Amino acid sequence: MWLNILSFVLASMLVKTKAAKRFALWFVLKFGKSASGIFFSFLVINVVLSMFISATTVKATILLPIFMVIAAIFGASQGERNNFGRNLVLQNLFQVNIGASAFMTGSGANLLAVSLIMGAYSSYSFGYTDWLAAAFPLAMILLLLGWFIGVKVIFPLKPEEKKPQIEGGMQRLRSELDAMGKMTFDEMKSIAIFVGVLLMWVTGEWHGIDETTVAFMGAIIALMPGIGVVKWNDVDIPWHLMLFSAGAYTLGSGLNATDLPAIMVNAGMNALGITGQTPFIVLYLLFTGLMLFSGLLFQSKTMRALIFIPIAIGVEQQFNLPALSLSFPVALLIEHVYVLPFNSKPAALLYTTNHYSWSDTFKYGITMMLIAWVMILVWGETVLQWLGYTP
Amino acid sequence: MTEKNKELDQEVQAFDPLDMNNYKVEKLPKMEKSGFEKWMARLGGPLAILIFILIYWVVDIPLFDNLDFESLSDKAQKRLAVIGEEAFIRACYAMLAIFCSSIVLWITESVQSYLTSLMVILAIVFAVLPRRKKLLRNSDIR
Repeated sequence: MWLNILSFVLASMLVKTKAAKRFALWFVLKFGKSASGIFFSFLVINVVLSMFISATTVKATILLPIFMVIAAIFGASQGERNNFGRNLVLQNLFQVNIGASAFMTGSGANLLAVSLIMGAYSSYSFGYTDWLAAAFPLAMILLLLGWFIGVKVIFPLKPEEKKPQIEGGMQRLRSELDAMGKMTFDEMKSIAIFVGVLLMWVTGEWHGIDETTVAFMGAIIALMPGIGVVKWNDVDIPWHLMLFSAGAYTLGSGLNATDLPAIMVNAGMNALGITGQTPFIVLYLLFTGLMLFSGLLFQSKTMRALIFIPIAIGVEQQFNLPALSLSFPVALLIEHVYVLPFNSKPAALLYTTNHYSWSDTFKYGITMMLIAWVMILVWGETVLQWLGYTP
Repeated sequence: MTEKNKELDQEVQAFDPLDMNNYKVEKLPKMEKSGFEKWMARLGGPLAILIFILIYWVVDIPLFDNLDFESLSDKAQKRLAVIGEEAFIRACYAMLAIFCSSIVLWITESVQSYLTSLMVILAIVFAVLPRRKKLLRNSDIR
């Protein structure tokens, strides 16, 4: 819970000082010289923001005005849709979510998953870099595939959609960036604090200070009068989400204390005829598939983590499978909530931009979800095996 | 041209698609709940209460009643040692009831998610955690 709360304190620095907005504008203006350049710029921007901002809705809110203006420059605005607009908005939705999956601190649901796993395997050491080593390359591959599938397969760009339709349109974004003035000392401090926190997280195995303690240190510096960057009133912590998470954590602890997941899993597996002789690949397919496609029905990543991670842990323990062999791959699939507008808050938000229809988002989303399933299977046979998670 | 048409015309002309301020979250249309979602929200509360009552007080679950205590995890064994077998079985019933009813509340959004969480925490305190009096009695401290 503390890491959850403190991540928002740290992210508030970047939002309040507008460092996040400045970075996004600067990057897209520098590297977005063509349609492809723009798509790749947002890919990088989303990955970088995901390192620092632990809420997908906050990232979507920061980027929305920027990509809406760019979509208008390329001819998609006020109900007029084209494939540039569809790609730009849907890919940002995909990138906002998959970017979050690359980092343990990318989302509160990731942190809950890790907490549930560590609650079950208290002697097991698992931290920021363990998640990063497995998740980051997978996320990058999915993001690149997301660009390819969008631009080349499902919503191919017509030649006229690859050129700006409004003369001097990007100059307006340049004016927005210029209007922000020079980088302020507060912005530099916020970036320095966050880079420091990030370096401490990445090197956790060497210095031994856990992620929560590092976040405490960063938050204290950020809030310190005279030295810091934000006051308490500037900190935008969504307390209703923190309380929601607290309930989920408590439920997870209660399930652990009564061993309920293991008891229920044992009964469920017996009923389905799944035994210790069932090949691991069948269990892997079943749980990764359940986790992924549950994203079509549920609205909450926290809930999906709360339901499926304990069940996966229960199966691992019941059948003496290696720790995290199912629960970690399942955790890597938490953020796949981009198919339908009700699947997540960013999905609902971006749908209201009116750049795509339900069938557009379903076509793109379900394709990427199926690709993600194939990728997690490949990952289970390769990277996760090499890292010692899957047998 | 009527006044209203003139106003609308001016609004359309005034909208600058390249002005980032036009795309603030507050200015985007809100997604309204569909009829189905509204019905789910109405039914969610009573359904959650019914599920809790059925699981905790009505239904017998042989899986819990005939629990093999030896197969429990170390953490669960420690809890068993503190509260005893009967209380452990009731705790299992309670956790399942709380889990199922909270999932219903969260999915249906019958009440706000944070409120469901607060109720979950309270329910676990009352239904799962041993009372201080009982712990003191068990340890014979007066």
